[in-house]
Amino acid sequence: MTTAPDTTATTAAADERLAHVGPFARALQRPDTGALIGAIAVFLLFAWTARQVNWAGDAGVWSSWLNTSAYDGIVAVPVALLMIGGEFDLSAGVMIGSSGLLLGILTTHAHWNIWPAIAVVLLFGVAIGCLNGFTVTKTRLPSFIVTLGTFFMLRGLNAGATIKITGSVSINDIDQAHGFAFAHKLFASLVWPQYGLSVAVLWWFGLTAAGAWLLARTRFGNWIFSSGGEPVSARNVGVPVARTKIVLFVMTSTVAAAWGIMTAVNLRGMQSNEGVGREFEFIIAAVVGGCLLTGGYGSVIGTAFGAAIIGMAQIGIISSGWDSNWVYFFEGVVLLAAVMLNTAIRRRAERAR
Amino acid sequence: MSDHETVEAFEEQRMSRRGVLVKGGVLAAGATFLGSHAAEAFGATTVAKTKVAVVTHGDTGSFWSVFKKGVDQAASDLKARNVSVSQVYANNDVSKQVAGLNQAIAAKVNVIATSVPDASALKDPLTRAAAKGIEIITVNSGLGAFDYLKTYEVHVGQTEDVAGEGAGKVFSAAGAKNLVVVIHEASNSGLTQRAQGAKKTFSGTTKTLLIPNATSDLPGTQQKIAAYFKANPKTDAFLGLNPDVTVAALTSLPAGTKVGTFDLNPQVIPDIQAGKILFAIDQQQYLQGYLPVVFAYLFVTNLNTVGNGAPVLTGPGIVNKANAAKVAALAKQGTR
Amino acid sequence: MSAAEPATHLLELEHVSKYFGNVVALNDVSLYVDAGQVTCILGDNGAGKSTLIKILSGVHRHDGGTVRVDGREVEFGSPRDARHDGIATVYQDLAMVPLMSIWRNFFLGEEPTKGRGPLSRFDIAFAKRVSREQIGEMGVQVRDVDQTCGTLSGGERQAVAIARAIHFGARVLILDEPTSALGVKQAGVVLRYIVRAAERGVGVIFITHNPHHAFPVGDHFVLLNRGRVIGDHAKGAVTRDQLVQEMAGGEELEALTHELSDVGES
Repeated sequence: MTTAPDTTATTAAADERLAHVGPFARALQRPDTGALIGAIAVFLLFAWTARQVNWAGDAGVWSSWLNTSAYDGIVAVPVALLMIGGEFDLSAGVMIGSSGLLLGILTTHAHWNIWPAIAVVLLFGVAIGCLNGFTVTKTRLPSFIVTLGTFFMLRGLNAGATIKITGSVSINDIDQAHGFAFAHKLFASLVWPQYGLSVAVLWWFGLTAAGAWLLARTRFGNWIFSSGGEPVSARNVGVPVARTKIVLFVMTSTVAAAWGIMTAVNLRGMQSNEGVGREFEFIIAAVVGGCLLTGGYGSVIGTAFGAAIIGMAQIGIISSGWDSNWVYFFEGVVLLAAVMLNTAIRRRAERAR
Repeated sequence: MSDHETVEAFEEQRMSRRGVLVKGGVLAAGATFLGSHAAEAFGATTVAKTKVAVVTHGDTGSFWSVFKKGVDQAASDLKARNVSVSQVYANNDVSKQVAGLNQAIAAKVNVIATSVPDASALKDPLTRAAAKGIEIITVNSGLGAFDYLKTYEVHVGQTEDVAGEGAGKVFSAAGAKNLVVVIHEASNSGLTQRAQGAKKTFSGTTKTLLIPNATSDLPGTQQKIAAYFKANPKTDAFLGLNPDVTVAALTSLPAGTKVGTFDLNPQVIPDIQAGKILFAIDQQQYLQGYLPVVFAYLFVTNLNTVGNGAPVLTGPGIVNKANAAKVAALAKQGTR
Repeated sequence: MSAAEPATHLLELEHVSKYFGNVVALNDVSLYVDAGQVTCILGDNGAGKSTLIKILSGVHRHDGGTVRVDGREVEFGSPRDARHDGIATVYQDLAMVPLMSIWRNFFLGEEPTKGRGPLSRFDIAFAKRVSREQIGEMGVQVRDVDQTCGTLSGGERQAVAIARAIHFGARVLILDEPTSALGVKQAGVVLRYIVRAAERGVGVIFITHNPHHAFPVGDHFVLLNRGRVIGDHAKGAVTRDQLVQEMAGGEELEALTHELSDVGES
């Protein structure tokens, strides 16, 4: 088979342009590298300003911010995947409260064993995810709006239904339920009691690894990227875009429900305000981690670094003894700096489009 | 008189009596609106209608749910006396509260009962309400903010600074040296006043720790409080301004820390009895919900006013180990 | 010079018509393409080209006439059916996701997997190797298949799209205005890819409104105007200028030239 004439000139030119991209620059082009560098920078900042509590060396301090990061990092994983797939879920935060309250009602008012109650709560998560997913894909309304509706519905349910069933807006004494002891061990115990490292950190690492593998190494991950990047083109070549998005919504609500269960087991109760407003922290972790708000690009590992930055900022500000009335301001500055650093690194390493 | 004439006369009388009743009713309603003695003068057989709007910055947490129980109970108790109550809980969103006040004015209510987390933001709607002759009662927060309004009646609540002072005194008596007060909402002047009150009467040093939206991430709040104590190891006393925050914080506090809290939730009383919490400042928010509705009814139907320039104080009640058991059963009901 | 026309064509339209309500989009259109040959369909905007493509690719069903694949009559119920018969269409947007890498785009929707069940993974090594090879068959050497498609030039993206279609079994390749959005040099590069595809045995239907692009690569030229075939020439039987003239705009341009020369003189 003869080769087409005179393509060598083009290919030589193409090679010239490619020659400059060495392995280091290639690494910098990845969305998670920027987030890693941002996390290291934030860590070093607090290593200096919080040196009186031995920020860098004290395992108890490490546990403190790792725990805080895990509390955002767990739900941030499916939220990042959903964002890469081109959608938002604003009900992910309030879902935490709803599922914790549901668990509490089932165990303390209906007196169920905690394990079937956990199964029901997870199914509740699946149901809400289906509601979000089918509504978005069938009506083609922006997911921002649809999940805002779900947010308000759940918010109202949290207060209204709980009061109607139990007479108050908080559930207590979940630890009286059968099966609690093992649930506590699995979901809320301390992996390293003397330093206070919560098992939530292990869940965070595990979920991050699973999410990263799903995104980068499976067929479904390819579908996520394309559904967010160019859904019309993806559909044209046979990618099941609607089904992909519905699965992502279900994953988000279910993980949020799981975190609600873990929180309720940890606190031995739940009050109806839990989780409200957290949905933006998950989104921030994903964006700091390199996910584009417009979808089609991002990284789960990067999101984990983003959650780590949030956790470090929250604990570091207190540990550094800064006036806590400035806490919002400081958090904003740290996050903005991390995002800008991430973007600058990536832009410099990327060739012009 | 012939039978026919008797019937006619009888019907005439009946119709005119009905006419009096109808007119009397209308006048009574009008009289209610203007608050004059006209209602009684006409001898209307229906009780004047009282429309009350309760508009607060409250959220769905355990504190405000007890408040709401108070409002609901009063509304139910006085329903037979023709009192109707509308409620708005703005969840710390001041613009929502302003909208709720404007709605109440448009609905021509007789009385507005409102909390005041931010006096300057509520000044416009409340001034308009006063101009329209709507009676104003402030609840929970805002003592002294709107005394100057023509139709202002009374404040029902706990004065935040006095309550804070009460807390400070208890800590001093307990021998604490370094107190931290956790503020769980960013722009709530009532919380700042409580902290300042505690600082005034506490014999040692007082520091505040702001954890914004603490109640929406209690596990995270636990970590932050633990980090604070690590960075400030001399701290030996903790004052929480919200019962959910305090109860969650217990696991993060070093042993021997003296703990006080504002307000009750079902967990606080058992913790007091177990010695984990030293005391709770109870502002009896159930009363803050119940009383304004009653005051409104009395004002509209009988022109009674309460307070005479002084607030109706619902707190601070101090709940400690000595009296905890008695309050416990009520707290479980959700009314304390 | 092509040999005598084969009896059955790879893809053939015989007296095909298409109506939308009472609008006649296509009227009695006949054309064909053979393996290894390039059939150019020339027409200005509004000539009916997009309707024609949609019928060929299975999006619309034809109303009159017959469509044959390998001599066998077919009715495409959906684009899936057309693809099943080996007819691949490359639209102007190329069905490419700019933010994704070349190898991800190449195997989008047809990802190769290794392993079973929940641990079934995307065979990335295979995907990288094969995409590099297949694009190489078009004459393009890509050193880094991890590049995102957004960083490729327009011509390179066409190469990837064509290579992809051929790799996944296209026997007929329909290219919808592949050169229209490109600069002169890039357009030339794409024309080479078209020739290359034909050399690999594919039957190419090259749709364009530019006779200068069509002329060098076509084995067969079909001119479309207002839904009808107004000209049908084999290579060698027509010159480039004749093509230009015959296309819509030829007569109008001549009249305009006369008018302008009159104006100049008076």
